[in-house]
Amino acid sequence: MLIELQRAMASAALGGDRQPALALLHRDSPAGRLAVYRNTVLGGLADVLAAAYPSVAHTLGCETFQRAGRGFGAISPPAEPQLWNYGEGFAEFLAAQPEERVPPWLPDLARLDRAMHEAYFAADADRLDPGRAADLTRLADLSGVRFALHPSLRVVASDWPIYRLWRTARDGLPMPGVSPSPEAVMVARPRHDVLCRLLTAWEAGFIGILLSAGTLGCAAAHSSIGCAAAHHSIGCAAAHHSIPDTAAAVETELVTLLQLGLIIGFSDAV
Amino acid sequence: MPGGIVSTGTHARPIPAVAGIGLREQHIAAFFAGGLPAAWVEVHSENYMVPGGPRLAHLERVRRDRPVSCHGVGLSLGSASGVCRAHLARLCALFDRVEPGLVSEHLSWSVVDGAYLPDLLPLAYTEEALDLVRRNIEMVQEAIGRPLLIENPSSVLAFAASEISEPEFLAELARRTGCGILLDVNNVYVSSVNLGFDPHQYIDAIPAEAVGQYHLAGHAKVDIGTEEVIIDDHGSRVSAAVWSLFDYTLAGIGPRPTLIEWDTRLPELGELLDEARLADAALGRAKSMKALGRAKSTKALGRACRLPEVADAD
Repeated sequence: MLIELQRAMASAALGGDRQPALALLHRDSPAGRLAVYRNTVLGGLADVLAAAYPSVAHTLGCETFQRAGRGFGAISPPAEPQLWNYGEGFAEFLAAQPEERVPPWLPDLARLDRAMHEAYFAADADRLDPGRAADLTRLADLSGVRFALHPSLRVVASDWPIYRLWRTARDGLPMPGVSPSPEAVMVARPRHDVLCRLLTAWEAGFIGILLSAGTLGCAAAHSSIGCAAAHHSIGCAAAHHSIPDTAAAVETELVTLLQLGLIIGFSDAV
Repeated sequence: MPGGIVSTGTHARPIPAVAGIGLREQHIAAFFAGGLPAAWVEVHSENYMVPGGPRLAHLERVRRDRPVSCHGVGLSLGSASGVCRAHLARLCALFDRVEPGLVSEHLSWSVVDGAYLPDLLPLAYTEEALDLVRRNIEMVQEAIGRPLLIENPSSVLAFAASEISEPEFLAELARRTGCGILLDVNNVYVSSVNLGFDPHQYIDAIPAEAVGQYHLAGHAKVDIGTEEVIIDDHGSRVSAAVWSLFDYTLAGIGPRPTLIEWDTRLPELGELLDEARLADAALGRAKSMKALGRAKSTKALGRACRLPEVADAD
């Protein structure tokens, strides 16, 4: 039966039991040839991951990354053939590896790689047209406005200096030893190129709330990254700790997002 | 149906019987800078099943000026569990967008129990498999409203259960479903070395009228511990043995759209275009033979083999 042959070959190709497949081979096909399929499948998955997680690949080096990628591939083969989307969960897989093999900041660096990879392939969207942007400035009260942001926009926050680590990897330099020091990064692809920008904790919280469809008032009122998630769950009424010059900071942030083409729409409905 | 042009009711540009190249992201800047220096291009369908971004935008730009062929690696026509309808829907959406001049897939399988294995895995050539692949091809052709070209795989092993030869299997699929054949000459050569058969006999057993396209690529020797095999890694120039087999194929079957595939260890675009020129030279010689009325395909094969009625770009 064909289904049995396919299960037997899949097991061999994913590095599992080879015996069922060996029993099906023609007598002129030596058993060692099954390794060709295992190498293509697991090596291929590791290559796909290396392309999607370039900073992790740089950190681990080719050989170690191949081992990690093959390990992930063997237990999490893709469910779909369009492989641009393969590799979700790789950061968690890295986090579960022994610390002597994987630096503690590597899972967060993987999340940043993933965010950039997703941003590259995210849906295209037109920036807010100038007329509509002018409508925005005419509103008497902006606090109830919710923004539609570009589909590629993401915020990645970490207890580690991931922006510094990402730049080091991008420049092909040896990865430094680092101590915990929170950094947050904005990732977006407004047109062709993926941007990666260091954010202050306040900016990260602000954009994070806008991304989760919070109102501008809510986003303006938070004070830190940790507070962003809390506000979202307990409601904006609890907003507090405004930074001293909130209005100016909000304006700067909105202008930046508009200029980058990352605001694609808004609504001021309650 | 004459070899090649199989579009139905779309604005698809037909693919001419000359050399084309596989379009790769790494070459795209040089490709645009060089004024789209290939008569047509082929893309891997799955690489363009993305929500948005530059890759799709590049293809949109290329397809305005060059015919495009969509070559799939994900339908898994040999899967015992059948073809994934969600993937078929993604393919239909892509074809609506790209309007390819040719669409092709493989005689292989990649999906079992919900897992996709990124390889073109071999079938046992049995009556059961023949019937299954026939049904899967019919289902796909009905959905996309046009015939598929099915590519012969490269093999490093064979199954004891196989009872039908590969070219017979392909010929029978073409006869039963109306699908065409994408004859990968490199794959024929690779399999012939690994499995020990005569590649010329394989070519002779392929029905010329079903062949709609050729693939040419490089292969590599790999040491697997106990022995050496060759694999179609598409990572080098086409070998002399494969060029020679291509000449033999052209003499027997006739000119068709011919793709140079290069997927790993990518060279500069110029080297890929050099390979395309070599393929064009071989196709040109075959066309001259045809003009002289000496093409084997009409004489030696003695069957109702119409030479391809395809637009020549030269």
